[in-house]
Amino acid sequence: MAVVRAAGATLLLVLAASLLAVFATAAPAEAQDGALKGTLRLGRDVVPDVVITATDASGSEVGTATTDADGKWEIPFSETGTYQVTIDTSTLPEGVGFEEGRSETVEIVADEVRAKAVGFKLASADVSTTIEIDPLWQRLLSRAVDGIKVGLLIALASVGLSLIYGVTGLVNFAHSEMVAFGALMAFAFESLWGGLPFWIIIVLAALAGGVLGFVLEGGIFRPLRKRKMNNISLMIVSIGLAFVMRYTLLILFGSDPKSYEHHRVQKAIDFGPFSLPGKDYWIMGVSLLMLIAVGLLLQRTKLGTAMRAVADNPPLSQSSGINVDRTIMAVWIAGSLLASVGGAFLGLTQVVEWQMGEKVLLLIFAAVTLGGLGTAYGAMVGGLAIGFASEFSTFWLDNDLKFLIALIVLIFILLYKPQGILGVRERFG
Amino acid sequence: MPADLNAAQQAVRTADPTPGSAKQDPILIIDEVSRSFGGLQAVDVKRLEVQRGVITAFIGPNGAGKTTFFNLLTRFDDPDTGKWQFNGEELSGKLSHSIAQAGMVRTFQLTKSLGKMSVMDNMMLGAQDQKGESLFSALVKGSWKSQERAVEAKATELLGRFNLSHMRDEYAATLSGGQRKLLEMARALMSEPDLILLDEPMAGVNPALVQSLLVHVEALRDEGVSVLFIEHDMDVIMGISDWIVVLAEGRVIAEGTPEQVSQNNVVIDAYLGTSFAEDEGTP
Amino acid sequence: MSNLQLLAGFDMSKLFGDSIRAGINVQSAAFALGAVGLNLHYGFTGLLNVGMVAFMAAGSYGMAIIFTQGLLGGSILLGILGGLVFATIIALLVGIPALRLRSDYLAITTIAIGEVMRISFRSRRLLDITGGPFGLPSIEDRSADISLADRIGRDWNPLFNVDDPTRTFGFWKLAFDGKTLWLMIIGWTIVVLCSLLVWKLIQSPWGRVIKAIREDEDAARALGKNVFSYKLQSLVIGGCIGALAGIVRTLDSGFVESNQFKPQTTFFIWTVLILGGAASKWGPVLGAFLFWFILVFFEELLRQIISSSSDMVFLGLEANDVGRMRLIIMGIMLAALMVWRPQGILGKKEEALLDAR
Ligand SMILES: Nc1ncnc2c1ncn2[C@@H]1O[C@H](COP(=O)(O)OP(=O)(O)OP(=O)(O)O)[C@@H](O)[C@H]1O
Ligand SMILES: [Mg+2]
Repeated sequence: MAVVRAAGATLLLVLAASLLAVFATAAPAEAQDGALKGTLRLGRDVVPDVVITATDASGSEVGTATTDADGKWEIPFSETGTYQVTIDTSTLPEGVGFEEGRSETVEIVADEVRAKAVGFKLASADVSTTIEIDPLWQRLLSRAVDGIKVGLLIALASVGLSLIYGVTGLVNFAHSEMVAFGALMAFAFESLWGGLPFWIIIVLAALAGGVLGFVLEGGIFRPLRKRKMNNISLMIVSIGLAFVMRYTLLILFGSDPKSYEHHRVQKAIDFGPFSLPGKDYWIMGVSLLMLIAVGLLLQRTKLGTAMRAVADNPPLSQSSGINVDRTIMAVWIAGSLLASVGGAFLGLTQVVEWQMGEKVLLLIFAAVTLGGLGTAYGAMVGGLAIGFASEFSTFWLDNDLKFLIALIVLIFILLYKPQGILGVRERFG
Repeated sequence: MPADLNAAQQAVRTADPTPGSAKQDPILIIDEVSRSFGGLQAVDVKRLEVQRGVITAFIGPNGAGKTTFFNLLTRFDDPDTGKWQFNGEELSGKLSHSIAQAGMVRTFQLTKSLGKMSVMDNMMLGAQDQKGESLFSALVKGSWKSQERAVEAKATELLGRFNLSHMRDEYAATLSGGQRKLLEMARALMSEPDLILLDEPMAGVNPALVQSLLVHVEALRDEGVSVLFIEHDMDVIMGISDWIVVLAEGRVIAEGTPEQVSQNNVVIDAYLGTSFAEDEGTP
Repeated sequence: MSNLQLLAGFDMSKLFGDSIRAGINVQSAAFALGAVGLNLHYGFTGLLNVGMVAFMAAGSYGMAIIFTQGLLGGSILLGILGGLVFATIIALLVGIPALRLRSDYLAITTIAIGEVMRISFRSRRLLDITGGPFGLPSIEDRSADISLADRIGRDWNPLFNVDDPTRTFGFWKLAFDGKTLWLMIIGWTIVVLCSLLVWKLIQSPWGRVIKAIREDEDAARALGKNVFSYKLQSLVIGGCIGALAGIVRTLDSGFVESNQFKPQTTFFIWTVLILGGAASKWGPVLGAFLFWFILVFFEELLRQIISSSSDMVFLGLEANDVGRMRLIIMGIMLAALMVWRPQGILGKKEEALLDAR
């Protein structure tokens, strides 16, 4: 039996891996919903770190992008129309301008919502100057740093899901919508009170997330638990809720991708071997601190002890004087708050839109399963690993295919260590 | 009483009353089965033989590892180490359902009734080798109709024995706790096991019914079924069992006939001395 | 303005006609099929499949790819078979790792596979096979130069009349052209056949084991039932019925595109099932009719209210929000049903109450 199972497992993995191989070796084009994109080149060299902005016919901005280490950039759009794509000349390397008769602006007519290539003709004043491209190791390193950043954010977003599962047994499918909620709240607060420092905006988005958690638990899930609804039914309710949340965000904010005013353009700051925009240091630092804070909360405080007790055995902890309802509420608030912050930060690194939740859902679930459903530390480790692996994989793979990595990890874990790396085996009987 | 003992009962009574002793005709032979949870050694049984055709009781304090031991034998839990043979067949590598198919069927301490199925359906599920349970014959009613009728007749008969006839068309979820215990035992018997493992079958069953249940269990033995059961009620144990195995902290600390065990000092220290008195309060 | 006046401004025949039409259309049959499959999974076996759309995609793409590649001489039936084989492979791929574990894990895996399939299909690397982001706008046998739509809607359609290709059948808002009616007949016939098949299985000893697994798989295991194998059988059969749902939809539309397989489709199918009544014989069918009726009714009502109001806004909603409201309404409906009427319309109330004990 064990042999059959191992053989079956191996077969599956081979299948999944060969699928991946097919994707990895075929034509190197990329798929996108609708995107203006291109590779910024000067002669045969690529030009990184140049800011490009697209505006639509009415002059309002559609999005901005910064060319990556390979000179690639991409700005998503969702409606047909005419777009003006402009290079921020101040970000061009010194001595680089445009070919004769060309300017920093290119007009593109998008008659379909799909990928549209946009080309700029750069010229160098001094032809002999060549732009240095980073050596391989440095590009790998910068991918790795991006991976750590995304990993930290996924970890933030996942902890709540795992904690809620731990204390209530509910797999909350609406949890990933908290990520979109957080990002869009930050966007809303910023457009309302643009004068505020950005960290206050983030704090406000976090609080909004906490309030939403409070409302969902107090208004929906607690009453339903009291009605003795089982977790499977509650899970279906949470699926319904996810759609209500997602489409409410769509109606409120529209479908166009957005980005924050703040921190849109930043000069890179060198730090040792890598150079990153300043916001990235912030994102990573604050996320890490928050994860550590969660760890301390769980280990050192009374509330943390209560959480662990409730996760272990709700009736027993009830009878030993722990207020189970209040503990569950705390978990909901904390979990939602963390996911909101994760979302708000994620909005700094990619476009802000109503579909953000849907897009991270897979990563979050893979992360939580990898770490072990119900364990906070597991979600952190799992989030870091999945975020890192998927982001790092884009060094070789198409952007979309990072989800395939998450799936393969998921299947692998389910086959060999279903309790996750930090989970404990379930108790039988 | 010794006069009407059958051969197997007589055989077991002559076995050596020490832990791990050999039986004349063992149906189940267990070797080095162990399981620990973190630092807790829940089960650590060096060797145990269970005699065929008799009622063997499995006793021990709460948390002694009795249920865990049943879980291991039926592979609802995976042992850290160990092997066991049933009817001469190696079972350790097998999965739960194959173990049941081999003729070793268990019940659960916390009953598992199939709530949204009728009591009758619960019973009929227990029957083994049903043609209609394979996907393709399921679609051809002719192939399983007559077997279905036979299974139903048998279920009706067993329900009668267990005082559940009047509930046959009710949802199992509507049964009381005690009735569920009965249903679970009756359902296990539908599978015509060679060895039945009962985890506290009498807990929560009213005393009058316990008496008639005991009669059924004895009848089972006389039909040739071997019974291994966990129980805390010492009167029940002393009255019905042919052989007793005492478990404490995961180890077999004593074996013997009811008389031998009740005089065993180790057992009195570990179990009877303290919990016999406590147990009398609870039926 | 009094209520009466408000109503007078409405086009009642459009409101009801369009809603009923939507309820019996091919799309509705496809959803009914999906719900029949899900009923076997969730209603009877207790499997939490939240990626039904993966099976639909397997069916649609499987058929479309085999047809377009001309592998089997443009045979629709062989294409359908290909779709079913693909769905079976997906069921095994998901089932083998996830079905040994607690039910939540199947939920996570199924939703993951659905998304991964959608994302993979739209990858430009598969341009020649799946059409990448553009899909296969017209499913045509590239070597034999036959299109799927023509084949099913013309060549094989007894209702199609060469002399009068635009002939319609029916009356009022319920007049359908020959092709649509033909596909409705095919679609609903498959629905009825699959419903009967599932019901027959459920009434057999096989079905007894399946229901026992839903109730308590350990109990079934203790009685010698190979739970894993039964779950896998259920996943495959229900998955193939789900693939048929995708196939029916594709036969109707004549094209495949990855956007047809977003997670919300799965969620619609759940609503259909819960609305009609899980674990009931005809629940999926009634559920699909009601689902589309309610959906179109609300949308049309909202649209009419908005267009009849002076500033074209109602409760802050504009005309282009109407389609988005659909998912909100459905989300609320699914959650509300789960809470107040978990047995749906045709399910047994007693059974739902037993859950709360
Ligand atoms: N899955 C598990 N995880 C951790 N500890 C466990 C697990 N299962 C059992 N135990 C522990 O193993 C020990 C033996 O438990 P078991 O249920 O086998 O006792 P028992 O002899 O059946 O007791 P009782 O007479 O009360 O039913 C107990 O201390 C229990 O807490
Ligand atoms: Mg026990």
